[in-house]
Amino acid sequence: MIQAISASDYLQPVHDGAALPPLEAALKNLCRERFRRIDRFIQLALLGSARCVAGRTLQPDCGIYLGSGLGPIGNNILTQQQLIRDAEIPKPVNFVNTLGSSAGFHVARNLGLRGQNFFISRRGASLQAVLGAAMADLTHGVVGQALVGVVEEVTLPLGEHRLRQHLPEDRTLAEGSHWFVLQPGTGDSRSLDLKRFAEFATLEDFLKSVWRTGDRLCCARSMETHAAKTMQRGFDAGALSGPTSAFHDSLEAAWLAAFAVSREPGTLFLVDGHPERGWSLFYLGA
Amino acid sequence: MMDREQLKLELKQMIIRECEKDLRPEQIPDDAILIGSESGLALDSLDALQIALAVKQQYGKRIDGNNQTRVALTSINTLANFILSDSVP
Repeated sequence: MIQAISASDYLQPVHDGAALPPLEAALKNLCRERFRRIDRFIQLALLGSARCVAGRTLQPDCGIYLGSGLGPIGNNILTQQQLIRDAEIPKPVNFVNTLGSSAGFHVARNLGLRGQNFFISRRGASLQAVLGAAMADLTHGVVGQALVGVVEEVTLPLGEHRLRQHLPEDRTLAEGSHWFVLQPGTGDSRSLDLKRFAEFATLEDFLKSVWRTGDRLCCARSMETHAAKTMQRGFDAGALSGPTSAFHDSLEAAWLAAFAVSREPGTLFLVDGHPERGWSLFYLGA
Repeated sequence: MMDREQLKLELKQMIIRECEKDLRPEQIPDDAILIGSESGLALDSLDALQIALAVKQQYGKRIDGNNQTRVALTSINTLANFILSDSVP
């Protein structure tokens, strides 16, 4: 059994006309050194991971699994502008930070971790990707502990950020950094499990067999289809309480993190998948 | 002709800005070693690249891999000498 022994949730809506909230002051209190050469994506990763780990000592070989749908998009835009618009060589620091793994490096350094360090990007399903990888490694003993997070940054102007993601003009956007510490074992923390299904009907049958009144159901954005809505109605899942409805590419993580630290009874089920790729069901139980 | 003292001040400001150092220009001696383990500024190879690019953009002088130009990054004095020299950018 895998436990979520800690979780953190930074979710900040960003409204039209407003500046992005500065993160330096918060980081000064959370980081054990002042980092140079960090962009906003790295700042968000440091903020969320440090909050998640606060007051806890992780195993030095704890693996880091960082996911993001858009990755370090602000820095990527800057680098592309230097290269293409300005026809100049990008600044080395900007170029290096176009890689999402740069954020993982800083998280590891800040927390004193020396284990494996992954960055995975999968639009609309980055949380599922990193959770799946971490749980496989934990199950097979590749790592004894996993720090799993997703980070999504917002870039200005918001109109372009929405356009980039094919979002309607009135959609509220958010930045997020949501992290979990997972490890095998049993205890007081919530347990996390994962099952995979080839057929959607099989997943539904399984869910029916374990569903209890008060359980929560969250369908991934990749499932925003008739099937997802039908499923929500069928399980009488109701509205999930907690995080804002503001959007970022890995919003499922906000629900999972909020539920992980809550004392609410029941289980949160997260469904994700596609008829051609198969289906996965993450569930965070009591 | 560029004023040498003014140039050295600009270079210190540029290094502080490009390398995100919590320093004031007067805290960087003109002859202090800039890069590497002997550097009191704790600048590394990525900082060297960052400075080289900034020098190219700001002064049109290219610091490349050959020894003569690489020496330019030894100190503020050598960097100022390099920029003020007649070498082809």
